[in-house]
Amino acid sequence: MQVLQLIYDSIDELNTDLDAGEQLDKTEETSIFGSGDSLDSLQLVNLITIIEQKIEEETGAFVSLADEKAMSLDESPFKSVATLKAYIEMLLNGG
Amino acid sequence: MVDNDMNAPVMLITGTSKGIGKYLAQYYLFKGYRVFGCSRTHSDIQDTYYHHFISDVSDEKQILEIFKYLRKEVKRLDVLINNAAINPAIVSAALLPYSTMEQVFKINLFAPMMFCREAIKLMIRNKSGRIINMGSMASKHEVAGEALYTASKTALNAYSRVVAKEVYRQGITVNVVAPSAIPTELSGKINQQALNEVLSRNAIQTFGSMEDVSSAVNFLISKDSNAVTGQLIYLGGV
Repeated sequence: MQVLQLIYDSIDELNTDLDAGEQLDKTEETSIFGSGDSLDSLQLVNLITIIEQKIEEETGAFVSLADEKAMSLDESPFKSVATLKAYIEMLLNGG
Repeated sequence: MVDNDMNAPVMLITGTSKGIGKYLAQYYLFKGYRVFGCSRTHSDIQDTYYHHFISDVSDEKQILEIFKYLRKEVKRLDVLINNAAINPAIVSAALLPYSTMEQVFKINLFAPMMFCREAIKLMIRNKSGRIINMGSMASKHEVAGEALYTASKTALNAYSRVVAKEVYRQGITVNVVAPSAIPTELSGKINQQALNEVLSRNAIQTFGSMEDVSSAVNFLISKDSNAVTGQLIYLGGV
């Protein structure tokens, strides 16, 4: 599975619900959550839900992104597209 | 009665094998909803538009299985009613075993929290949803011997009010309906003398009815109740 592409597809879907000034860019450096110009908590829930659903559609397995591990990491997996990509890849590889 | 069909609004109710949960499941099937219910045991509800999960709501994995089914097969959820609850025997807080505390909080608080979490993720896609958490008049009356049950239900009230603020912009409302004492298997297990004493504190000192509950739920889940969220509705004049 191309995780980065899956995140970008999810961003496209999320952006349809966001105002122009709120929309996320499709780059690995894009901040997702936790900095001034990133998503609010409900927009983050929405993005996570879209990604979880796409993973389930592709693999048939439900992967919870906001699990205990995600909440306890020193660096939040939701900080940027790059950290989210790395976290999803780790989960998919059984990490 | 409205004809049910596969495009009918979808409702998930926990604890549908008996009592208020079973009544609400049958009531909303009659109203034309597709109803999904769960309990630890089989259900005797026979209806094409009813689907029953045999699940232990204190087990997160079993809750996730319910939502996996809804995501895959139904793709939506319009109403969640967190009804399943247990009420331990009336006992002094000084004698409560930890295992009882854990079990009551798992079923009365953590399970509704997990159902809310997963329901919000489904409802958010349609920017619409109604969540009803069943409360209790115990939160108001603070009856001696019911510290554990009261704590679990009062925590659910607080949780509901906060979540209401989080999800309102997504078209989701969250409210608590706290029935008066209704003759059910659960209330039958409570010391009747204590129950009558508690009822005597209400404006309405007699048992409530199932219809009282469905009337309140009807109001809260109607489209016209968009502006009602984060509210605790006590029945029986508490």
